[in-house]
Amino acid sequence: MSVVMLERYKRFMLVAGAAVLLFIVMGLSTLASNNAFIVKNALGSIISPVQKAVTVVADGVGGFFNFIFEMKGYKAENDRLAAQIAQMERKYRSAEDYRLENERLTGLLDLKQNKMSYKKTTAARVIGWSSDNWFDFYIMDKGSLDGVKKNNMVLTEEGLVGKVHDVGLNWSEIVTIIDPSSSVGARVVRTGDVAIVEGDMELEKQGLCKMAFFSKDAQIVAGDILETSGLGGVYAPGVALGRVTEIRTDETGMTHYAVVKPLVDMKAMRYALLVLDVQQDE
Amino acid sequence: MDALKTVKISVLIFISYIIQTTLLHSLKVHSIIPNLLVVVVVCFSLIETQGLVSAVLGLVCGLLLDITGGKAFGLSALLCMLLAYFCTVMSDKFFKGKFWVSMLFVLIAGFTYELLYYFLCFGMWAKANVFTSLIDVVIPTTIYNTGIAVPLFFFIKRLRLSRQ
Repeated sequence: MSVVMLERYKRFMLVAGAAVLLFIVMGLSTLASNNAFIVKNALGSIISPVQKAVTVVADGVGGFFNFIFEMKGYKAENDRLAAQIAQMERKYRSAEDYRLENERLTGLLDLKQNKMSYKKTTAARVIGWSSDNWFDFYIMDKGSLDGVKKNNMVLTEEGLVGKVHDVGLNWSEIVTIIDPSSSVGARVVRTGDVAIVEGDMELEKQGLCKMAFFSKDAQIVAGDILETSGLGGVYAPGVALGRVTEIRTDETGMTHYAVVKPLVDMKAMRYALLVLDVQQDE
Repeated sequence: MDALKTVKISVLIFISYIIQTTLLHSLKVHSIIPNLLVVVVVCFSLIETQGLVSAVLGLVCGLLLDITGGKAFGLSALLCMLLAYFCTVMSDKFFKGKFWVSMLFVLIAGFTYELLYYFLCFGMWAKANVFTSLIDVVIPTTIYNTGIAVPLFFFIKRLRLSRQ
């Protein structure tokens, strides 16, 4: 064997050795339980402040230009919102009547309300996004130093965003409910039917997810509001999740699923609330 | 690789990574962002003559991609390292970094990366339909990657990272 060939063989063996080592690293990383795998944690902790700075500057610059470009539309927007507020006030008064009626009937039936309150939360800012097109991850600027743990629930005032998937020292990675790897126990508010809301590769690109595995007799219609059922133990029950937009039949023609639009506008989300501890009120 | 060349490519990798995980999300086309780091790895590897240097660069870029993507840490590193090594060996043996052949290689390498990523993350576990994944993610990402590879290829050459 010539010297050149031997040299090439040595290089090839080095790359092959590194590939084997990476297979071992992949295996070890899947075993990392609460905090992120050590290499990921270290690299992420160094890079997250830079991501934060870039995102803050980009948001600031983007916001300024949006303000300039959208100035013309503010008058029309103002009129539209005033009309919307008037309409919502009417709806609120009607809803308040229903609430009082509901309270009275619940009292009559002596039902114990199952209320959840969030004992400890922390607000976090989005500082980055997943680097590929396969997953719907967000990088937040709070980590284990702030008390964040894997599987903590993530919310905004509109509803459920998802859960914490990985935690580093000063960052955490959240996976949204539209991610193909996500599944949430859900309940239809109107009918009480329970099902699973899960991410779907095709729907994810449209900012949607789907509700599957619901009973044949379930009377679910477009417009129904969904909330978390609490089944599975990760998500607390009663958190608003999304709205059914349509009912579809799958490719086999045997089962139905509902297309769900999350209440939270994931694309526009810049801040979220990480629920560090949930307390169930008696 | 000399020190200046190492510093230049390190800065390029770092900036590309930050852009990919922050600013590029404002430039999504049909919910797709280009895989900037994969393009950097492939362009560099097609110009570089030493397979081992390309493999190390692929490994570093892949590790960065693993921080903010995927479920198994090391998958992108493995794919990027092997692709980089393969691109350099092929380029050095057959076409010596010629532009049009290089662009064809960016297309093939980008497609291979996304397809392998799909099979190892989803396909193996039957979690996503292969046609949906090809049409919604693999093909659009490959086209977007090839589009940005054109200026990036010349930029990397101008940075004097090449043998010329």
